[in-house]
Amino acid sequence: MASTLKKIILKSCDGKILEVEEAVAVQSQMIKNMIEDDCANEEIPLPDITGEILSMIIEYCKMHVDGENNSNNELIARDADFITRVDLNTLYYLIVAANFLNVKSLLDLTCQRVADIIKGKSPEEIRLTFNIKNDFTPEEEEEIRKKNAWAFDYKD
Amino acid sequence: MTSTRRLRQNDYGVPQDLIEDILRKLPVKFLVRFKYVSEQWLWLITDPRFINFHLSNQWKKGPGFVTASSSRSLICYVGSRSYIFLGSMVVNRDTHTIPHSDIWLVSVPKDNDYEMLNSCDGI
Repeated sequence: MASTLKKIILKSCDGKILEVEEAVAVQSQMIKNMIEDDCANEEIPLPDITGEILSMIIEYCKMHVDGENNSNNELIARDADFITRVDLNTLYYLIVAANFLNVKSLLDLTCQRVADIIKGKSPEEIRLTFNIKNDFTPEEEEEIRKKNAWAFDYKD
Repeated sequence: MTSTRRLRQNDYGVPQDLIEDILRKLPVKFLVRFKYVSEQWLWLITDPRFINFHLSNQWKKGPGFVTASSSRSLICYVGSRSYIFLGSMVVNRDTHTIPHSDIWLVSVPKDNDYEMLNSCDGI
């Protein structure tokens, strides 16, 4: 029975080929559109997604297909388990890939995770984390700080 | 391949619209704090379009309040293009309840002299 299921072939930017069941692949709106347009009969090259990231995304999609009959709480718990295993660096790649493949629930999950991680950081730490250059003068920075002093209470 | 990966590790080329997606998930207090990360973040966080998106996102989670001004007022942020509209209401200090009949809306220009003390529930 399983062998009759249609498979979608995905190729990562580092040459890894992954065969994915259609039900799993269509969790990606982009691939779903390609199937509907009859453009998914040959392997689909994914130029900016590594095999490692692609495998993680497929794992996530599979988890959601397999868990379709599970309760919402169970899915939330599985999502949490999946996402807390991912480090910040990998999260960035996952966000970009989830956006490209248009897997909305994964994009939400990854963005929420990054938001939760950066919540506790100071603006200086944010700059380091995202490799952002501080382009304010010390005077401008001080002014913004003064105007928004209530937000710089780091109790939380 | 390792060198490519190392290069990209320091790059964090997360496109701006995805940064926006991340920031949209943050409560206002953190957004205000992150306004001076860079000019780009300041521009993004204070962009009326972003504020509206953020507000609609946060409202899905339920109403929220910003405590502000005097110790007996709560100010509710409801968003606007040119102003921050604030709903001011008196809090019963003994029971910490907010009589709904006391809710009214006022529009406060952004630079008005008020002091934000705290925020909760995403606002």
